[in-house]
Parts: sequence; C-alpha cells; structure tokens
Amino acid sequence: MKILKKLLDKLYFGKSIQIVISLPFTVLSICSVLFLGTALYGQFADRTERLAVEHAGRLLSQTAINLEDYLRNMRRISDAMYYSVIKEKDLSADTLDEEMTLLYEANKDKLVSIACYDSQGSLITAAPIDTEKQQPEVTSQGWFLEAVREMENFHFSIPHVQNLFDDPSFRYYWVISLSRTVELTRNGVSSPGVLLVDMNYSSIEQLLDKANADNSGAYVYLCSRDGELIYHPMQNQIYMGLAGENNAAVAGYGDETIEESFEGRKRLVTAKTISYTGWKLVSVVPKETFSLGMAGMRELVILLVSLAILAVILLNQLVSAWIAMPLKKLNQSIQDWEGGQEDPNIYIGGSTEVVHLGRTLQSTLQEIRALMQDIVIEQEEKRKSELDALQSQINPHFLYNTLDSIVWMITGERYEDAVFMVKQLAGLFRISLSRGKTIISVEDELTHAKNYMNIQKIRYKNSFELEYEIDPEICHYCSVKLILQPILENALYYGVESMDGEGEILVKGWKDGEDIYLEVSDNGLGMQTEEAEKLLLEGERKRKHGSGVGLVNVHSRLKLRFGAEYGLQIISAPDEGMTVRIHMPAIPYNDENQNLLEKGRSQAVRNREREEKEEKDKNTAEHDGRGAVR
Amino acid sequence: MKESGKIFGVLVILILLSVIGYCAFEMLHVNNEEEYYTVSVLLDDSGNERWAAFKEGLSKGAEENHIHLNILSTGRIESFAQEEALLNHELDGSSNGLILQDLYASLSGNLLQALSSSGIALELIETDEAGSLSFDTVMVDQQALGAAIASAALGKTAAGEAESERVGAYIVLGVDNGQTTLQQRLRGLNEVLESRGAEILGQFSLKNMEEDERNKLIMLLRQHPSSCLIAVDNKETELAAELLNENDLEEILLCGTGGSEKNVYYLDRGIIRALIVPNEYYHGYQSIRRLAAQMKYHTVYETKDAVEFLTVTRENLYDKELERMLFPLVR
Repeated sequence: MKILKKLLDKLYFGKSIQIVISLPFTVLSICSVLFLGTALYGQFADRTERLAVEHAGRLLSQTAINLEDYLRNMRRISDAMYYSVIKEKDLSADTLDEEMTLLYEANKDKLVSIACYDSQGSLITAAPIDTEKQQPEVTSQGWFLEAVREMENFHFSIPHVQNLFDDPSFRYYWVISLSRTVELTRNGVSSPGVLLVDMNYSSIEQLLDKANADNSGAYVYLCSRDGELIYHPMQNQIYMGLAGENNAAVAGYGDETIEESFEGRKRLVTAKTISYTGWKLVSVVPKETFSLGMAGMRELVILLVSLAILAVILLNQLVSAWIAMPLKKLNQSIQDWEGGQEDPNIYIGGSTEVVHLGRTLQSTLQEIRALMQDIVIEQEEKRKSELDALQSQINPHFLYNTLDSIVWMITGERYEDAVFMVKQLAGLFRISLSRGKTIISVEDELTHAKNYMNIQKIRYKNSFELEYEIDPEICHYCSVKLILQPILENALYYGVESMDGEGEILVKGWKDGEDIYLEVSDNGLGMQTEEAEKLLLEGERKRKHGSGVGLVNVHSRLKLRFGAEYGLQIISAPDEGMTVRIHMPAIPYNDENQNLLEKGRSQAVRNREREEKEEKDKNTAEHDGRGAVR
Repeated sequence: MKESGKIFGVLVILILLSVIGYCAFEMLHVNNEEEYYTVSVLLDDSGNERWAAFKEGLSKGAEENHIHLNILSTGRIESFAQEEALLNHELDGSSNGLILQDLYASLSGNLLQALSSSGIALELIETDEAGSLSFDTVMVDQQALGAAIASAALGKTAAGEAESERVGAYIVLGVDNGQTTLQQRLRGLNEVLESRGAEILGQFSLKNMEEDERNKLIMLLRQHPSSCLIAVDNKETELAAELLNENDLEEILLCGTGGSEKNVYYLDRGIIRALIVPNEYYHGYQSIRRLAAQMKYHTVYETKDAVEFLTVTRENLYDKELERMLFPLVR
C-alpha cells in the first residue's frame, strides 16, 4: 500500500489537477471496457462454437437416420426377394424373373440391379434383364466372397463400379452391393446361392450431398468400419492425392466428439456408427469455421469497444476539465497576485467548495492588502516623524547660522543681500511646510533646493560653483518633499567644503521614458565604491555634521512611496567626486495623483496613468486614421 | 498538459477513430458476396464424351474457387482460322481467365500474348514447347503419351519393359492435320515404332473417312489379320473399335488412347487391347485451380504441372486404384 502510494505520489507530482482526475478514471474505464468487450466476445464465441457443434451433431444424427432408413429399405428388398420369392420357388419348375422385375421396378430409383447367382457364380436371374458380361468372374468379386464367407449376414460392400452386365449405352454405374447367401431349391433339393442387390451409389451420394449443402466449411463423410472412404465431398481429390482425410484414424473412434489436429488444422470430429453395416458417419467441423463466422461479431465488438473507449476518454476529459477549470482560474488569480498585481480579480465560481475557497482567498487578500496599507502608513508616519524630528533638530542650527549671517549683512549695511537672504529663508520654510503634504511638484522641490543652496552660497561666500541643468518638462511631475536638499547638503559638507573655492556642484534633472532622474554631482574627494554603497544601508549611517538628514532617509522614503525599484543610486570613486542619482516614476503632478501618493497608492496611480495613456494613444490612432482617410 | 501529452491524446483519438471507421466499413461489407471470376474454356469438340471427366474436374475446381465456368460450345476445330476467331471473340469478352486447348500452338503465339496483355489469365492444357515456356500449363506430355501407345502396341509395359513383344505390322490411325497435340503424339509413336523396326502398313484417319477409303482399310486389315491398329486420339480409337466391331475384325489388335466411356466399354468387351488414359479429372481440376490462383494473386506459376496417364487393359480395368480415374462421374 505504501509502495503504491509512493508510486502514485511520484506519478502525480507536478501534474495538473485535470490529469490527476482524468488519468485514473480513464485507465480504469478503458480496462473495464476492454475486459467487458473481451468477455462478451469470448462468451459469444463460445456459444457460437457450441451451437455449431450442436448443429453438426443434429445434422449428423438426421443424416444417420436417413441413411439407416435407406439401408433398412435395401435390406427389406433383399428380405422380400428371399423370403417371399426365392424360398417359395423351386427353380426346376419356376423362374424368379417376374417377381424380381416387379421388385426392381418398384424400387428402380434406388437400385441398379437385383441378381441371384448359384454357388458356382452362374446367373440364375437378374432384373432388369440384361446381358451378362463375358466371364465376369463373379466368384472372385468381393460381395460374392463376403456372402459365402459369412452366410448368416447381410454384407454391404464399399462403392465400386458394377462389373456384371453389359450396357450397350456404354454406361457404368457406381454401386454398393448388398449380398447375402440364399437357399435355392431345385427339385426339392436345397443348395446355396447368393442374392445380390446393387444399390445405386448416387442415392447415397445425393443423401449425403444434402448434408454438405451449406458452405460453412463443416462437412460430413462416410467410411467403412475399416476406415475406407464410402463417401466424401472431396472423394476424387483424395484419391488423386490433392486432398487428405483422417479416415484411417476415425475407424478407431467410438460414437463421440473428438478434437483432433489434421494437416495442421484443428477440428472437431464427431463419429456415429450406422447400425448393421458398422459404417461410420463422420462430421468434421474445422475450428477456423468458427472464426470465419465470428468475423462480423468480432468487428462489432471492436467497434463498440472503440466507441466506448473514445466516449470514456472524451467524457473524462470533459468532466475533469469541468472540475479543474474553477481551480485553474483560482490558481491563475493567485499567480496574478504573485506576479505583483496589487488588486487581482479573484475568481469565484465552480462547485461550492471552490466558491468557498475563492471567497476565503479574496477576503484574505483584502485583509493582507489592508494590513500592508496599515504597514505603509505606519512606516510613512514613522519616516515622517523621523523627518520632522530631524528637521526640528537641524532647523535651529541652520536658522541660527542663517540669521547670524543676516545680522552681519544688516550690520555691514548690505541691506539688499539681507533682503535676498530673508526671502530665500522664507521660501525654504514655505516649501518645507507645504501645508503638511509629503508630495510636491519637482518644480517646488527644485525651488526648495535652490533656496537652500542660495543661502549656503552666501554663507560660504561663493566658495564653490553651482550649476543647474534641468529639463523644464520634469517640473510638473510629482516628487517626494525634501529629497534634493539632504543630497546637496552632503555634497556641500563631504564634497566641496574643503576644496578652497574650487568645488563644483552640478544639479541635473531629466525624464527618460516613464521615469524621472535628478542627479547631484560634486568634484570632491569621492570614496570607494563599497563605501558609497554602504551609505544607503540603514545600519551604516554615519553622522558627522551637516543637516543630518541622511541619504538613507531619502532612499527609504522614495522606496516607500514609489516602490522597491525606485530610490537612490550612488556612483563614486576616490578623488573623482560623487554622483547621487534620484530615480522616481514620472507621475504628473495634480491633486488626484498627489492625494493617491499621499495615501501610499503609487501602484494605483501608475495603473491609472497607464490606462489614460492607452486611451489617449487609441484616440490619437483613431484621429490619425480618420485624417488619413480624409 | 505538456505538448507531447496533447499530441499523444490526439494520436490515440485518431487511432480509435480509424479503428471505428475500419470496423464500420467491414461490417457494412461483411454480407457482400465473395468475388466471383468468370472463366471461359475453349476445347476442341467440347461436347465430346472424352471431355466428361475433364469437365467434372473443372466443375469441382470452379465450385471450390468461386468461378463461373463458361465452356464454349464448339464443334471440331479443324484450322487455325477457327481457333483464331474464337480467341478474338474472347478478347472482346468479359472473361477474367481462359483455359485453352492450344491446338495450333505454332501459329497462336501472338494472339495468346495479346490475350495475356489484355489482362486475361491464361491456362494452357495443350501447347508446344514455346507456349509452355510463356504461359502456365497443366498438360500431358503428348510425345510420351504417343510413345506409351506404341509401347502398349508392342506389348511392352508403359515403363518400356518387354512382356512378350509381338512382331507384326502396324496401321496408324491419325494423320497430321497441323494440330500440335497430334503432331507430338505421332512423333513419340513413330520414334518407338521406328526404333523397334516395326512395319507400318499405312496411316489413316477414320474421321470423315470416305467410303472407298474405308473399304480399302478393311481390306488391308483382312489381308493382315495379325496386324495391329494404333489410334492416336480418343475419337480415332472409338471409330476404330466400332470399325472392328461392325466388320467382325475383333481379332485385330487395337491400342488407343482416351478415357471416354465408349472406349472403356470397348476395352471391357475386349475389342480394344490397351488404352492409354490421361487423368482427365486431375487435368481439369488442376487447370482451374492454377488459373484461380493466377487471377487471385496475379501471378504465374513457374512450375509446370504434368498430368499423368496410365495404361489400362481389360485385366486392370476394375482395379480399385484405377476406378476413380476412369469413372469419376457417379450415375
């Protein structure tokens, strides 16, 4: 049982549910149909064989009855001639002619002749009256010798051509001679003689030909007690060696049915002994005649079995497909979900169990989605609070330095510079606040960065060069607030601060396909690639000085907001400066998108954007098509 | 499901559909009768009694092989023109096969090739050497049969062993009329007689014999009562026996050939001394069997079937071994 279970587990591992359902049922059904078909055919073949044997037996019995009847009639003729005529006559005064002729005429359809011979073989009388052949050597003929040898009995010869009378019409007759010893009376003295009744062999042949009239392959033949053929449907061919018969062996058979093999062919042989003569009437039913007769039945059974197997295969496929289809659809829903689809359409249908499974999965997914949403919000809140905390930490320091610079400007009567400084600071705070929003436009983010760098430039007395290469197209896309300023701060403190007026910072912004890139490059000291990669890892964050809003924070917020494929990329090498690249999706800045992104549903925003784009492309194509027609 | 699994499934269904189609077709045709062939038989003087055993064999073979026999009713075919007309008629006929006694084999070659090319299966029961090489044959070695008649007339056994060889004159009944069989028999006969130095008093044909010529023959026989008549075909033998019987010349020895009942009767009466009898039943039976095989399997046997002949005398006429050959018909 365990082995079977293991085998089945191995067989079914990795197979679809449809195969798991249909395979065993199909195999079982086919086996059953084949078994039933074989059993049906076997039963029918057996029955047909039995019927054929019974039919042959009945035919044999009927033929034997007819033959015995015929032979009995012949004996009666002989008896009538002997007891009613020969015994009553004294041949010295009477002749047998009249009675013999009468008897012959009454039975001439079955007889060739009746004759009476004395013990020397001299003809006493015969009917029909014919000329006796010259020297027919009667006493040496088999029928005469048999009659003399066993005087009490009738003797039936095997068929032979009659050799007694001269027929001027040149005819020769096949006869079976019935001979017996008779008592002839002459002048009151008895002497032996032989009475011969020559039966026309054609009567027996016709009788047996009737039994062989059908073309089934079965046949009946007749042989003597010694196995010598008396009648056979292929008699001439057998004598000429063109066919064979197992008649010699049949002589030893009793009245029974025997299965024998003759000349490589199996056959059922039934023998029946004809009374008085000891002849054997034999029925031969070759086995191949059964299979010939069964050809139609065999084809019918194969046809039915094939149809049943075909129906079983198709039905099993349909049923298994019907059972498996809801499960497959449900599985597809799960695969969609696994493939990253945020809101997969969970299939609910099929049988009660599958419907229940679908509903459970749907509710589970909803719960997971809600939980994930909660986690995102929680994380967002965490980041926000962290950002706020950091901002609240740097603000006083930055503000002190900035206000200190403003004081010095006013003191130094640089009023215009002081006004510019104050404006930049006000702008910085306006965007930092942004009415509490996290998502702002790229334009505002750039303005915020510029405000910050303008202040720093004044503070650092223009000790570094700052350049902007911004594609104006990107200004109206969404950005996470305060992502550029920490990077610029890093570039300032770690990159160019120590370069004595030779520091350069380049801020670039562009759109590539469906993405937006913002890049801050400096020509500072740079660092090893491995070290640069660590800057984006949470545990490796180093705090030296500066604003303290680290790259990790920016990287995490970008991922959190837009997905794992977005964030920062740092490219750096020692003495070759550092480039920090921001990668964001290109999401147009509008209230709807802003609200969705604020709720952390960046995927929904992207789906909506994709649909709108497709719709737009379709409309454009239709418009172009109409234009082309016009 | 894997692609291979789908292909396997489609294959299984296709096989099942093929089996269903085949079985349905077979079942619809199961009751159709077996194909029958039509075979024409062209024999010289087809109504002659000499063909009785041959026809019996033919009928039996035709019955076994599902063949409709059409034995053309012919009189004596005494020229190639007659044979040609009959064969040309066969070319236009609807027979699948033809059993032919090719009487004028030296002339009929092209015609037989045309018959064969037209798709008619041919079985020759008499022909010459060229014919036997080109077509399937079941036939008696006519030259050997002629030699056997001569041997019987000389008082030899068929094997050539001398019993009590008689010395005397011989009259041959049978004249070369251009027929292949007769020519072959005469060749065999003459070879033996010449080799024994026998005196041949004359050569006649009793068929259509004029009265004065008949008288001349009777006179010759009366002048040579110890002479022996040798008839080389069935009809000549029958006519010779009748001639001897009608003219009280029964002391003249007559040896002939042919298994007609008339000949057997005269043999039984002692008028004919010896008869050379071909196994005509076997001849007919085998010729139709081989022709049936040719038609069924579209093939020609490479082996040639030789029909045996036996020397029958009054003494062995009723022997059990000969009865079936001499009297194949049951009346």
